[in-house]
Amino acid sequence: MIHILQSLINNIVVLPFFVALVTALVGIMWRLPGSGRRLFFSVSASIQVILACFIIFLTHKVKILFLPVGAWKAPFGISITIDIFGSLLIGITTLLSLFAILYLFATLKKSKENPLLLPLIQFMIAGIILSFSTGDFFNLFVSFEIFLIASYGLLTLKSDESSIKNAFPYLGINVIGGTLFVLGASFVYGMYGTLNFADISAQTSHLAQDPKLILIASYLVLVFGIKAGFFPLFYWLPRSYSCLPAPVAALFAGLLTKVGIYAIIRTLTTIFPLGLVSIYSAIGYLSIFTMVVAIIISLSRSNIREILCYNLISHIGFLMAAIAIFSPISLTGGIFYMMHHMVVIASLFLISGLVIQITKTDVLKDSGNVWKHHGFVGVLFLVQALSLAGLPPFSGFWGKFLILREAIRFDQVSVAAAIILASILTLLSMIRIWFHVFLKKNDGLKMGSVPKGFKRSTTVVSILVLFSLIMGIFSNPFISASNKAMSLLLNKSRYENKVLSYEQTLKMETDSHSSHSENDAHSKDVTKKDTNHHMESNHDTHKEVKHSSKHFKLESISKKEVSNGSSVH
Amino acid sequence: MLLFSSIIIGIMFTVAIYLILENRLLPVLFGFGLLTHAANLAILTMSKNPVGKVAPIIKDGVSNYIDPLPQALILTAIVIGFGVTAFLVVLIYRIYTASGSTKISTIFNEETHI
Amino acid sequence: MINTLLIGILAPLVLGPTLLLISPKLKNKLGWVAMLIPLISITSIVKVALSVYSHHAIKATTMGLEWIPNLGIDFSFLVDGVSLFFGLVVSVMGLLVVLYSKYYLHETVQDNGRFYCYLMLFMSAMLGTVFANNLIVLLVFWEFTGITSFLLIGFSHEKKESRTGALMAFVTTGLTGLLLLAGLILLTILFKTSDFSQIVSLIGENSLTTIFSPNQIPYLKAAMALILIGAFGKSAQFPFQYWLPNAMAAPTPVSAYLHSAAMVKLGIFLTVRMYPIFKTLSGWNETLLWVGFITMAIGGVFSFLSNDLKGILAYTTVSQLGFLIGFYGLGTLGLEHDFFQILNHVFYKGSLFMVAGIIIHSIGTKDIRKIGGLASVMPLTALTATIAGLSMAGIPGTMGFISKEIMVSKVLELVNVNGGGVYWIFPALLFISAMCLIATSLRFIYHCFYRKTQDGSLSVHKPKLVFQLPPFILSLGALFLGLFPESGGHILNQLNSGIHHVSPSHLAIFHGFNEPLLFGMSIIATGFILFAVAQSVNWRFTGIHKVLLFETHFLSMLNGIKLLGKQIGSKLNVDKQQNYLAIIISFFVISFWYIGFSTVTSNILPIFSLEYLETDTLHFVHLVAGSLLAISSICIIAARKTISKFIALSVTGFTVGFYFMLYKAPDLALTQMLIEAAALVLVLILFSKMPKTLKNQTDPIDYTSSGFKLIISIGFGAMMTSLILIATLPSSFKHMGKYFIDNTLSLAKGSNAVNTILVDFRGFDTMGEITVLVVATLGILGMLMNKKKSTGASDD
Repeated sequence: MIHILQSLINNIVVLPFFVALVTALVGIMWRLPGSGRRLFFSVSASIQVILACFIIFLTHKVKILFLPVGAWKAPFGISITIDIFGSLLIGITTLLSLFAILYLFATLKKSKENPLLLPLIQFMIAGIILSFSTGDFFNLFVSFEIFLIASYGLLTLKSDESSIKNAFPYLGINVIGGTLFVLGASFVYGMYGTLNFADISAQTSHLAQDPKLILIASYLVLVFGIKAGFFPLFYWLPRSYSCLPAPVAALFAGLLTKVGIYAIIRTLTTIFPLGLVSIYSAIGYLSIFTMVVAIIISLSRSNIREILCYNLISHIGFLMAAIAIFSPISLTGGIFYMMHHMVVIASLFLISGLVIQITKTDVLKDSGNVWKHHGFVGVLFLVQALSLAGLPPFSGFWGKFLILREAIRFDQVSVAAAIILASILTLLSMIRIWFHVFLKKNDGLKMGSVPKGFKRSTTVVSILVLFSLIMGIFSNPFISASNKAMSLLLNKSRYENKVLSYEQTLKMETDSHSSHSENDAHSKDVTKKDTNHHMESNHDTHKEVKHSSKHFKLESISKKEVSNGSSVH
Repeated sequence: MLLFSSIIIGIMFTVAIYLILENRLLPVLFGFGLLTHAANLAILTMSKNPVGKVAPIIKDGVSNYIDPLPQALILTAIVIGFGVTAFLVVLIYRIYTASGSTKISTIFNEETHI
Repeated sequence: MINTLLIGILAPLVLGPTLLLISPKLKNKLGWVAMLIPLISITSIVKVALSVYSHHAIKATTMGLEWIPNLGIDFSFLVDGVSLFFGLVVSVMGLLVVLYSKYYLHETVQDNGRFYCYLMLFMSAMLGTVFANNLIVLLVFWEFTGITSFLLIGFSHEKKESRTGALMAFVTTGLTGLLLLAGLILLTILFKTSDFSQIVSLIGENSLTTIFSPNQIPYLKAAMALILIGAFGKSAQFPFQYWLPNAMAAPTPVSAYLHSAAMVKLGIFLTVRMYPIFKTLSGWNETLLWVGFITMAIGGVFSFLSNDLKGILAYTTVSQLGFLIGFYGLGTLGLEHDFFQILNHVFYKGSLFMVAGIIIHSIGTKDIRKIGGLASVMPLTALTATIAGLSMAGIPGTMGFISKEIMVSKVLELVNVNGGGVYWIFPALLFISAMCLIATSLRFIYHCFYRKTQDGSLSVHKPKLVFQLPPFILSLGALFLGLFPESGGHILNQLNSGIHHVSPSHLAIFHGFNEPLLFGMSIIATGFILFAVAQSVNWRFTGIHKVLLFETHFLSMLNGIKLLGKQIGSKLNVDKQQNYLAIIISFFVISFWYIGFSTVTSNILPIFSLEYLETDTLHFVHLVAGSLLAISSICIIAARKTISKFIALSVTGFTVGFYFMLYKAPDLALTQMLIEAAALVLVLILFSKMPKTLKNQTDPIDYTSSGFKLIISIGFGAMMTSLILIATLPSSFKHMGKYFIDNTLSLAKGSNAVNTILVDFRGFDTMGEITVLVVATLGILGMLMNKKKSTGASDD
């Protein structure tokens, strides 16, 4: 029994992925949409959330969860490795998928539900979860392809003229992106003879100044930049997102670009050596353009979804700025901002779905009256809009605050100015929506009766909004988690050790397979080891907190020092 | 062989991108097909020089095997590429039936006018 | 004690929204319930005040809770003279405003629950700001006042002017708030703490220049400038003065609250708060002086030129805020009786706004040209307006007189101290502003209440007595402190003494005949003359030219941004989907080569030595296969007919299979052939669905765009070639392929290493690959399924 439990805990790392995958497959078998099938999907999505929470809990205890798939030792097999950064993102991903599914159930009639819709969503979630948890370059490519192809399917599912047309550029750009990615992975193999993150990191630790490494790293950053929606690489995004149904658009907006950012952060922290200053500064320049240009374009757009899309792109610029500054605090802020943004932009897309249900239009100038008749939806929008604009005490503020702080601390005046400008213009674009859709009186607009399931979908959204509100007001646990995630990202040796010196534990496990009598002793051993680990990790936590508080009191030390220093500690 | 292969692959990529930038759906489709081929070959070059090496099937008394990993990666990539290409073919078919044109500029211009 | 304070600050925040819930039941009586909330706040603040009061002085005390320890941000508050003074002003005014609103809202506004809720949220934000000790907490509440005032100003949201007013206020204060944030961040970085009282104790009595090295001084100055911009934005100082008159679109109680006692005073508050930090920094006083006095003059002149009742009051507010800011710019001279000045403004301006509200409420117009003779209808309000108006004018016997008296004497002292010269401009600006204010005040009183109406068309709705009470109370305050300044000045100075370290001079109505008195009297005289002159020409000159109204510039700037967005959008082709791929590929290629040339090339080129390439052997069969590949792929472009293009592609595909063989990859070759055959079938099916003409269609070659395409695609190809060469450079890294060769038999029990990798070593990838295929099939199914459905539906 203990043995089974033990192996379950060992394998929990891949469980969220597998649960999503199996759910999708069962969904295909269970062809006809109905209540039972819906119940199954929502239960499964909830299970994923619970598993993700458990994983977050575990990563807080032992920092890095590691599973060599098929028990092949680390650099050779595929290693699933979840650290705090990954676990937090998995948590948000499962949360968003649960809420998107519940929202979908509330708004979509069973008879109108496409039988493929839910399985495709689950496939996409599975792919995204795998991207956040894999520790292998080629496997990362495979998981990218899983969620990408699921996203193509979701995009074309409606199969009307506009959606398939808009799918074409999206598909084209992502096929090129995917090809460039697989090439990048193989180039990495060609250069360093390995695909495993930890192994690459160990091999290249002394190569921070190597031009070849800088070249391949910047190539990869560009490739992931396509996914993330960097300034001139964002074209695929707005058009394709705005023709999706609200809950799917919410998932796309919340998750897809963030996977790109995630991959960039991994590339620049876990995989390649720290201190690639030329790449950081290049990202910095791009971030300024991304922040400012996208938000200015958003002000000229005339429908809600597209405005939100350009806002999304602009805020990717904030994350890029966090990466570009590359100090411990800016990365903490970036990770926090990422979590905040996933929730907020997704809920804004859901809210826009609610609004469109009421007004039957997406176009600003035809809209209106919502505030008067549906005040609560207005409150939800207002909270999330202000959060998006980064006003305190909402969640957007803290991430922005930290990033801005570091930009100022390292004298990056142009980045700081861009952050301020983008914030105020975000506010302006949100006010535009607020005025046109909510406040404006539009006599020409017939406010139809409340659609069926409106109350339920509003409830779903409001829970999500509540979550992001809590994230803003009681931000400490989230900031502390981001801080731990950051210090683990910069403390590369931990990741390397965990993955590359796993051999011994592995051997123990195979032993326990062969002889049953040793089983008890073995499990005792493991628990003992685990408690040791506990203490060690607790100890570590203390050290890290102290460390971080020290960071906050540090005075302007040069940037290089910080990045180096944190890699050493 | 390496230099030669890399140049050939470069030419293939050039042609592929040229085709992708064309204004008609079918050449674009061909471009993506060629892109996949070129990418697979490029991955294969990562197993270094094949001259004098042996296919990675273990036999007694042979030791100079070629690196098997790129081959395995390509097998995965080929299949994924096929999935995507198939999807693209159907998508192009649907675009064609929906808009009645294969010229990309007219397909999208129509929409912006509406 | 922290709990008491927190109740005082947060009670409105928590209880405000509950008003929404009970509003449908209580309807008009909600106002009474709402009044309880400011009472709670007042009680707790007084309680806190008493607890820190000992030996005739307020002992500055900090208190707080842990909030975000990770960022070193505590939810901490500072109870001292400044915060208690502002806190009491805010909460007492809050009480009066709620009382007043109860009657104001009576008939005009339907959803009063929402109104009180906003008002309470706003009050909470204000209290939080003035009590905050941690600078970040201060900013959090500061921005929250912006949000709540946005809601309050835009309360009558279906009116466009109300939305525009709210927009201006929010965007202006939002932008300046962000700059303030940047300033505060700079400050926390420089002092290594965000705790205000710590910063102050760190500085002590030292000059900033002794604490910081010369190269840090510019940062301090930047922090100062940014913080002042934040203060100026909130307090509507030049050049941000435009938002305040437009914010008057708010319901009158809101104007009375936000624009007399509360939000606009925040800038003043911030200046007082920051004074101990920046007092020794050069530039602090000068900035305050210039900005304050210029604002004062502009506000005075504009109020003289306005016709809108609330507009007049708004510009006088702007003027008075400039007065207060300028007063702090006098440096140590200006620290005496500063609270007296602020309180003066609170009393008379709050009172006047409420009066204006009563007038608007009773007769339904805001245009002063159409109002008249109201004294007979509402004598109490007439009395109130007279007292408050005279206080605004600064006529002896009112608080305003004493306030101006102090100001005049200080400004004259400033001129004396600095030896005249350019400093004479300050008394001059003061003179202009005060003169205009007198004329405006007289106009306000006379036109509204005492002159006869030109036409008898005004239908007056008599206001209730209780409705008129709150402004009357305020005006009495102004009168009382005007007649007995010492009594109130005493208490205010006790509040003051904690932070400024100045012993204030005696306050009295009459200090004897001296320079300031003469100056003051001459202002009053010219003010009356100005009024008489304006009256004689019947105020025909009123109205402000468009160029001078910054709001028009502000709005056209917003419009400009929108247009800019449109232009950038079209320049970037965001609406032309056919160009997306080209743009992205070109950007990728260009930036790759940029990186390659800028950082890498010089270091890598030497590695490609000829020696390394000489060992690169090339067999004939390679040459043939490679050339076939190249030729057949070029044929895809060269072929004119689509079908021939396709044939060329298939040839390439099969040749790739052959090339795989050359790389000793039999499995690959086999798979390639299979996949190629499958793809062939797929495309042939596609062809069969398309009309014959398409297959044989020839492409006209467009030479202009093909040049561009060629450059980009060659760039791409060259990028790949060089990447391959770089990636395959000989290196010391061990490739893990060897592990698979070594272990495939022993561990995976298979002789074909490629197969064992696929199904065993990296079986997980293969599972992913199969998933991709499944999903692709589903996607295809989805597209085709719905197509049938949609066509079927259209047939029906």
